Amino acid sequence: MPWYQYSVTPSGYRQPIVAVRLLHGNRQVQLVAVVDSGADASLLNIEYADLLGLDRNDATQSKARVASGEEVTVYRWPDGLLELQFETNRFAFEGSFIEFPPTADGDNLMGRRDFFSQFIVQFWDAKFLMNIDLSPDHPLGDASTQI
Amino acid sequence: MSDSGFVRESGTMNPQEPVIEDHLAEELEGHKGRWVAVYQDQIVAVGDSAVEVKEEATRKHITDPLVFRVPTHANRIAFL
Repeated sequence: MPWYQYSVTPSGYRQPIVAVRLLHGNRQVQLVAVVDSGADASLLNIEYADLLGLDRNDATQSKARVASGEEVTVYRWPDGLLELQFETNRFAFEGSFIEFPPTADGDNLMGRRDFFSQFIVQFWDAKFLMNIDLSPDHPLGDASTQI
Repeated sequence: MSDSGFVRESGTMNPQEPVIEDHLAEELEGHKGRWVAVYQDQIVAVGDSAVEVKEEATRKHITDPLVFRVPTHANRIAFL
């Protein structure tokens, strides 16, 4: 897979953003997310779950506190219910959804548990570029990088 | 490696265009905090929820837009 240019956000700085597809049954939505090697798990806005027809009452709910001090609700549905697709590669979504408070917002994040387990990701911040390659474990991965 | 591209082992690698092109980022500036649907680098719907903008895009016969909330980054989420 090729190198990808970082995107300029409305706030003016460049971030490693990808377009991914979130799927649930026959429903799907395309969204943008920051590729974040510091995120243990992927994190998406709860409104995508609403859009795909998921019932919040079916999710495991927990509380988290954000930097502003506000408490937010985190929703997680059982593994296997949702999938992500990056380009032609589809895999299980193993992250959570967050209900952002009115006074704060955040980016969708692609984290280590699902996105980074599928791909080898390289960041080249000096050039605002990232390289996303299939994992050597993937049938179409680069065999020369097999360990 | 040359200045004109990125060379790895053989051949030249031309980076893909960014997901959000610069001109689109400028247009999004006016919609901070709102949800948008984007198709072919154009904003096709603006609203207050993901459901609202997806439905508006569908009414315009655009069935597969990018849907996202334009971040304000005024008070960015960060876990403690």
